[in-house]
Amino acid sequence: MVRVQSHPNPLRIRFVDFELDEANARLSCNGEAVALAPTPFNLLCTLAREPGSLLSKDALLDAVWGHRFVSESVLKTAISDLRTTLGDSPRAPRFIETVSRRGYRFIATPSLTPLTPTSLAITPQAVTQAPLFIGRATSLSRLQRAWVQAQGGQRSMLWLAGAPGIGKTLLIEHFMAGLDGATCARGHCVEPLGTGEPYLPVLEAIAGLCRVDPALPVLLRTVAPTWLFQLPWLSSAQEREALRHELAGVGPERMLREMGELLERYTEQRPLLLVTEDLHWGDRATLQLIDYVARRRGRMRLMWVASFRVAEVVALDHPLSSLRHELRLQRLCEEVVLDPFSETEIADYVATRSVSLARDEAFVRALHDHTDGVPLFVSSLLSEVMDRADDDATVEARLANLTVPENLASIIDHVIARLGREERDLLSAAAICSGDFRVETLSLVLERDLASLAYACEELVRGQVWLTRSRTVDGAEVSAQAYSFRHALLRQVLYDRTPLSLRIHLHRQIGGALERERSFGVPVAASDLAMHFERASQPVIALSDFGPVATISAHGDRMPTLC
Amino acid sequence: MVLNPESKYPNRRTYVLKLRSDAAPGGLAGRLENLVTGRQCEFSSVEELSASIADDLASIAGERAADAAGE
Repeated sequence: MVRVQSHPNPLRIRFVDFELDEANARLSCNGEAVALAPTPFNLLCTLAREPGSLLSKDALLDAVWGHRFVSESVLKTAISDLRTTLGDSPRAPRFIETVSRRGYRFIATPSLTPLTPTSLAITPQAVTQAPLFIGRATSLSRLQRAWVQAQGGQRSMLWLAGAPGIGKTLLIEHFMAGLDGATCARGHCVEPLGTGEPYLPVLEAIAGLCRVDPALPVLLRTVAPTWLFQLPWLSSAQEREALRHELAGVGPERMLREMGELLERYTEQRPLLLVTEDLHWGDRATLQLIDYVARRRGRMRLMWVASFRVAEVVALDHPLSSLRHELRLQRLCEEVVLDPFSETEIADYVATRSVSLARDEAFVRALHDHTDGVPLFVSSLLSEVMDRADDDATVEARLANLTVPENLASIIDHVIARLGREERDLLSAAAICSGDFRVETLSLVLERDLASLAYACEELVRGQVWLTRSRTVDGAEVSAQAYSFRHALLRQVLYDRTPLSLRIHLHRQIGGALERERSFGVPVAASDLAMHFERASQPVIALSDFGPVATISAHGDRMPTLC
Repeated sequence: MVLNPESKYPNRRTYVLKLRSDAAPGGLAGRLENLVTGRQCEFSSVEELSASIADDLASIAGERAADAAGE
């Protein structure tokens, strides 16, 4: 039994598997009461009343122990009891984070929705509609703190590092979803199979932001014409010609200064979250820009999150490796590194599909052993054993009998093998496109009916495995018919598994289709076109398509070199 | 039994191992780099490699102790 603490607004929240009902002095887990002594219960209520906020030791002592004379050790003991009850760990906290020498912070995301006895009964429909987000409370909390800092005018540069399939993109999306109307711009790097485009992820982000914010193209014209020139669809032919003259002799350093100025002025009006994904494939120009922005003096309400596969960066001596350490050493950025799931986190994940299975420690441990806790691996294997309907075996037996794939690529091979012929053709062609792709493009390439392709893409989106709809910075859809792969690994493995001769053919077809679309006014990056023709072994066409991108280089002769 | 709340292979305990071109089964030589800290150690024998890893594990234990003291 716990003592009832009188409070004008008694807390009634749910977090992960727990329900906290202050008025009834009740803590429960999965609907079952959990014994908790009065002091740790009051401590939990005090912390949970201010989620995400640091509560100093003094504040907690005052709130829970009142004016009684007690030493700090009672607080430490109560925190320890609370963690034991919640199954939390100070090293990998999910609920209560220690802020060294200062105090504690409640880091779980509480839900204020009414508590119901069946709150954990998630229907399969619900599961397919929302991406599952488990754990990562500390990481999310650090992102949120960095955003608060950026809102206050202190720019935040944040590396988000981890292995493939560890959940970097999911964390970013979960974080963005919680920002509620904030201005976000997002771009990603693509595997540099040929000559890439300098600043590709930044140009993608700025282009996306221009679509939803008419003030930005105006500002680009004023302070960042070299960047405007890289987005030709934002200006008329006459304006571009004038820009060409104006920018004659301009070197790449000016692009850095202009972007710095643009970001300072733009963020005077509103804070901006800039996301660059897959920076392990990033070009040197983008890295230079990150370095420049991190070191630039002046107020900037900017948070720049860049994700990358840390082992690849280190193993391949990518230029990002030294930049990463330099900026960290000089405290110009911070780093969030995502570890594989622990057994506890896997249990939380399994609970979203089956609470009873999550309580089966042997199953959870076996799933952990099979996957080493890599989330993409976990979700794939769990779906494999739970969704099969072709035998009468139990889920546990299926897991025990499953041949363990050697790596993520092997898992994806397994998923590819389950595709129908038409789906495989569609996805293979989509994998040839770099980044987002449009149904219209695929329709031209595959010579298939637009409506049936759109329907097939929607099916693949609903399946929550292969595709997702492309989104603009504010979360609205760019176009009902623009899609991208849910994960870069999926595209990468499909691309690798496409025979070389077919790849060359598809690059040629896609290059031709994009050229036609461009002639009808669809914005198509010249470097994309050039890349397709280059890989289709048509270098002459490729060279001519690099024209617009190479213009500044031709005049200024020092466009940043690529990786 | 209680489920382990900590990751089995945390990045802090993950390394990239590069072997030099002249490394051989009887003479391991190369460089070890921790993924999180970026700390690098050159080694020219399996004993030195083992000592480098032991040093880093000791650092991790020190970090944990400092964290615990800060609570």
